[in-house]
Amino acid sequence: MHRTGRLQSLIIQIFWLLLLLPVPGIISAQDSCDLKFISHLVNRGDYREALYLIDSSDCRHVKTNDSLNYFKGWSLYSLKELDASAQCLLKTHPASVFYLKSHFFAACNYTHLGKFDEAIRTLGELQLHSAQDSAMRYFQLAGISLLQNNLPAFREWMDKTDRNQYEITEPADILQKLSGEIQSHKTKSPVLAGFLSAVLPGSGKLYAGKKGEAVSAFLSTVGLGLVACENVSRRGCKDVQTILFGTAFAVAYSANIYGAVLSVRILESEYHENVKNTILFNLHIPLRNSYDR
Amino acid sequence: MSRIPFFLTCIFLCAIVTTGKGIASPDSTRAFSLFARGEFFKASVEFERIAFYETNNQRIAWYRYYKALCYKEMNETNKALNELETINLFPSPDSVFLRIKYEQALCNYLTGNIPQALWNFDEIHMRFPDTLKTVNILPLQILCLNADRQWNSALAGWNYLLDHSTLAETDRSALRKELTVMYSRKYLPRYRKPERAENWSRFIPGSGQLYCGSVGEGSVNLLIHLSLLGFAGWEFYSHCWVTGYFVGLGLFNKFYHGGMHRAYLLAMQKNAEQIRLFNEKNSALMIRSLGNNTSEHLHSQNP
Repeated sequence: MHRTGRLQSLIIQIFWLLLLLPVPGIISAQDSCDLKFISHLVNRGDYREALYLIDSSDCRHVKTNDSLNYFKGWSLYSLKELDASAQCLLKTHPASVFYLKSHFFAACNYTHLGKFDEAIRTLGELQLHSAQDSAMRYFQLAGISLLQNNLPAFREWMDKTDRNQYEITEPADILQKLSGEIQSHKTKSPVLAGFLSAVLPGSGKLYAGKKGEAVSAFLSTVGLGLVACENVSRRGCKDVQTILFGTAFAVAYSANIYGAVLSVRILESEYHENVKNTILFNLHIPLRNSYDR
Repeated sequence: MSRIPFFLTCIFLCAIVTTGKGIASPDSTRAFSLFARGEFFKASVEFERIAFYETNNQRIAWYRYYKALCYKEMNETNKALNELETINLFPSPDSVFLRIKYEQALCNYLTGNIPQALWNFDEIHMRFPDTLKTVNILPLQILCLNADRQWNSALAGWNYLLDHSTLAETDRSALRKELTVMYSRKYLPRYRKPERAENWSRFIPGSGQLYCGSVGEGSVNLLIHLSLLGFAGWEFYSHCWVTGYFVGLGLFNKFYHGGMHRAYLLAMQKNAEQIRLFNEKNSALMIRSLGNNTSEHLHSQNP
């Protein structure tokens, strides 16, 4: 009897043991997505490695984890995959410590990609609680308006922005100055450049502001022209050399005109690209200074 | 009394869960097995993970060393170098120091930074004045000395290596003879000064390319120059002054300066090519005569 009782007791103990044994395994499965290590990788700049870990089987089940979305979004942002980065960053919830940084940078990513509507919507949906963050939002919206060449909207947003905030002061001044330059910018005509080069080889390039190229175009076109004239006068029109140099002159003259037209188009394109890069840079820097310390 | 083992077991299981150490701390076996299987990217992540959680400095140095090896295998030599440079060698034992410095020298050699590779070898020799302890690094050092054209030092290295090898005396003598021939003036890579090649082309177009050993290119270059001069002369003779000046002499001028610059670049290219071929011969001789003993010795040590 006593032995049976002991046996029963042993069996019950083994039963409980078997029941409790998987518990550590279950808990460890929930902890096996190593956020601490992923954070270390991101801080170290090992973004590919961080993405690999996040996408690995250990992390896949932790889908709603704000930290994970932030780390993935930040890694993709650092690897210049802006669209994917924005989608991940936007998944962070308002309660998360990464919320403001994530959503501001998601909007910044959309701005860089030229998706202004998405950027404006993202900024509009932000839940802000401080005047500093509101000032940052207005400033970002002002920058987007300037990118869209909407100067009245730019002025409206800039008036709402508190420019006394030190992260925004200098970039705001730069954007203000830039808006003045955009307003006073006179577009150069490619047709006029072509016409000028037809009249005087190289003058179209001079109109485009390329002095060295203008001199080079002038010398090569005029030089070949003189060579062609000399051959016509000495050898006549039907000589092989005359035809060769005449053709070379015709090609050089046409290339000079085409080059002048192209120079003006490139000049305008470069100007717009510089303006865009300046605006994007000055929108980016206040975000890095405010939220990425 | 009978419930005591049961409660002890429960306590033991709870202890495992609460400390989390047995579950969260990564096992280095996985990292090394990934490395052995050739999955270098995954292995590098695992090595970084175990280095992150490790507290022992020597082990951290080893894990970072293996992480650098992973980068090297992925042909990311610059990342490997960066990783090796983060290792704190000051409190490290000799074996760790030697392995890491050797790997730095190897990565510098692979990236073409020969002076830095030789500096790494100097650091090793400063720590190990007894050259017997550093015999196994000599093959790489010889290749670096060859790349730096320090022929006498390279040959001295070879002789030291042979003296301390396990080869039979007859094999050693045969090798010494072969090396004496290889390092004789006649068979050493000839150094072509780029400035001299440029100057040769300055006086006789095409001669700089001939100096560099490109006979065909030099001949074509000379022919082009003579043709353009001839063309200009003919045009002047025909009283076509403008044509002769703009076309003949203009093109001659372009080819002349281009030829000079080409001779300069060709000399540098030929020098690099000859060093590469010479080092290939050296490597083949090392593998043939000394086998894999050197690399096995270096990689046999595990943390």
